[in-house]
Amino acid sequence: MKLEAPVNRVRGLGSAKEGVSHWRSQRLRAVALVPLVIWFVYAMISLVGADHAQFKVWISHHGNALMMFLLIGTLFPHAWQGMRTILEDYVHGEPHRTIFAFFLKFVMWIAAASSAMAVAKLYLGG
Amino acid sequence: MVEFMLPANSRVTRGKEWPKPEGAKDPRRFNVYRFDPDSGENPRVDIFWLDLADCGQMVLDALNKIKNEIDSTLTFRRSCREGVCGSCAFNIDGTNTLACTKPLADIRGAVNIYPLPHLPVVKDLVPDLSIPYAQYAFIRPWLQAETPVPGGERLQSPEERVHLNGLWECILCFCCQTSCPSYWWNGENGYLGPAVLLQAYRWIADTRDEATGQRLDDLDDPFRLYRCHTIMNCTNTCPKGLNPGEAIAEIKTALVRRQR
Repeated sequence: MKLEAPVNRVRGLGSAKEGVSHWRSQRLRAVALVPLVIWFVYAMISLVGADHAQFKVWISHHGNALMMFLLIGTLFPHAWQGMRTILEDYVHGEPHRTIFAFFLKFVMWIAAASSAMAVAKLYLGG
Repeated sequence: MVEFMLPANSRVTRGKEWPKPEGAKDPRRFNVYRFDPDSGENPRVDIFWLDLADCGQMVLDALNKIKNEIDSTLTFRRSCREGVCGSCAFNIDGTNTLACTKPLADIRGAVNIYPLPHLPVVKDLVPDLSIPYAQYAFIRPWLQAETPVPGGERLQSPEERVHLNGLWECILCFCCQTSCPSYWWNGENGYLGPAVLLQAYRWIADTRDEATGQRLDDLDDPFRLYRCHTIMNCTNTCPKGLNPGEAIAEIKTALVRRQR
């Protein structure tokens, strides 16, 4: 039975006093992804049919490797923020919300780190 | 976590069909949601028939006619019958709106009348508004100022007063609040909802109010404010033609602006 006053339920644990940073960085990354993804799609189309050697030559260009790192550094945090927002919307109750949130962040780091390592390896001539 | 089964008493059944009025020139069918918590039965949809040739032109006129002439147990809120009190907000023809300003002529075929979505139902078309009211009280909807005013009146220039246009007209009918999917999922988990956020912005935008920083502090929260994903059902449904979506965007802009 819930006898708690509605006002107390609304107040809850108080304001988190953060939310604007998540919201702003999600939008900034979305805007940054527009040119990055256009560049990436264009680059991948121009590399259709290329073998490993040609790919290494392409990525050994400083600009191409830099763009790849920027793409990785923007795309994965953006995906994580989006997934996290969906999680907050639809998954209610603890502890599964916290467990899912940690799992999402873990997946994001694994994916971002392995992508960055692959680019670094090719760039450094691996 | 994820609920696949509906709670008890959720399934809406077919209710009683009342007879058509005899010799009706313009008969129209009304499907009206009914729920009686004392009976222990599931909600049902009762079917009423009215002769529109012998009825006022608004949906509220039809509801009053049903209550007066067919079934006096039909329960619904109404007061001013002219769109300023915000009592007769229902889901009519699939959209939340005020029965008193919704013309029957705008609706094709049967008129479906349900309570505002996703709130507990007290009886028939009366939802329990205690959470939205508590949320409204939470944003402190009154003027907070420390500057003493010798004359007793806090003045605004016409240019300052313009900022309140599109905000003061809100009658708190909660049509927008209960049209918002984010409010359906998280209204009880902290999200304040479009009506309450529009009211919060009404005081943030007021040049006489001196608690703007405190008000923004209270809203800077992933749930209270940022559950708004700009779905814009609020603006589409508002029977007063207001734009809660824009008011929420203004709050988000103010929060970014104060970070520099």
